[in-house]
Amino acid sequence: MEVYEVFVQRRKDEAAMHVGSIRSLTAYLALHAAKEVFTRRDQCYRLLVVPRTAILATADEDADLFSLAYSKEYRRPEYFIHKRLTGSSRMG
Amino acid sequence: MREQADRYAAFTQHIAEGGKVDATDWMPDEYRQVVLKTVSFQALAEVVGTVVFAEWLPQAPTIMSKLILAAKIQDEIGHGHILMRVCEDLGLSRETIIEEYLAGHRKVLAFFQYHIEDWHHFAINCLMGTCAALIQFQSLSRGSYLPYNRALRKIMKEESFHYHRALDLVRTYVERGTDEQRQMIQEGLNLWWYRNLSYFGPSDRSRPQSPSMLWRIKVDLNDELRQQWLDRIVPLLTGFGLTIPDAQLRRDSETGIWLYTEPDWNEFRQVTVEGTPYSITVKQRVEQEFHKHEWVRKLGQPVGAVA
Repeated sequence: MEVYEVFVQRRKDEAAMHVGSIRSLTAYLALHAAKEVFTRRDQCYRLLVVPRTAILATADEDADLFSLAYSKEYRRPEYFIHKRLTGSSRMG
Repeated sequence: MREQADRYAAFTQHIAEGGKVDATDWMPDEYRQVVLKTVSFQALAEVVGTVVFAEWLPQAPTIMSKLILAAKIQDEIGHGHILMRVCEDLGLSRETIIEEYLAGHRKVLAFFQYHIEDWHHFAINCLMGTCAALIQFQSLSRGSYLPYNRALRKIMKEESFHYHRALDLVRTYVERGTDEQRQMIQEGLNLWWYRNLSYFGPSDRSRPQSPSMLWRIKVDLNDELRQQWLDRIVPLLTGFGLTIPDAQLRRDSETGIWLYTEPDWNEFRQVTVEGTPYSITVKQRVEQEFHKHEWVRKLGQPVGAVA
């Protein structure tokens, strides 16, 4: 038995979203079980299962790594609007 | 050792401040045990409940009502599945939950230990019970353990369909049914009122904080949830012209608090722990199914493994 993470892509033009997990013998059976458990109501375009062991994720304590993206304000459109309106290149 | 104590203190503080915990986070064993106790209790109730409901499939009066009931039962199996996955990620397998139940080591929701004797009783009972379940799930979904919250959010979506199905059944019999059907709904209400009133368990207002409240798996007191249920169910039932079998029941106009006759808590405790003759029938059904599907579970074991 292996654990498979289940993802649902609701519409073709949307990204898939994680919805839960299934314990199964094979990936094929996991897909079948996931259909029964996770697609009972909402629209679904595509259902995906991934063995949990195949997923590599950052740890909780690494969440700070992504704060850098936010601190670089010069990469955001507001930066230039702010600069034009205030004449200052520092955003509060 | 020192590091362990610090980690424990930090975790305790995190919970006390309303922090959330995910499956991959470090957690003390006490916390894990409390999550498992709460989630496995509900997981078992979902599965056992299907046996109770499935009895009504042959007796549901129309093809449409059979289809709707079958959908409800499939939902419940799905709920059991999702909740058991939450348990399995914390080290408790679905097989263990069922085996412990069959061996008599697990408490079962008192509600599912009474035999439903009539389709109309089933309808009114489903209305009261699903209303109670929704209120309880809404509360539990604000707890500290994220995988349980996510599971409940999905479950509530489907539970809402169960609620409206029951509401539609009761409305049909009360508003368009025969006198006899109305009578049967009232009879079901008389029989099942106190069993539903006891759904949230005995008052815990004056008791010391339970581990599940302490770790914020449970966030509302049983009494508070019961009040919310009364707020919702009493106007609904009286609006149908039904009579609630409690002459003491009234809402205090100043405090807004419902005053009511307590259910027989001794009976509640006895039924929860010891069961009823009907519980044995239900357990036998689960046992039959569990053994019937043993070959499937064995497929998942390596060749030569001892069962």
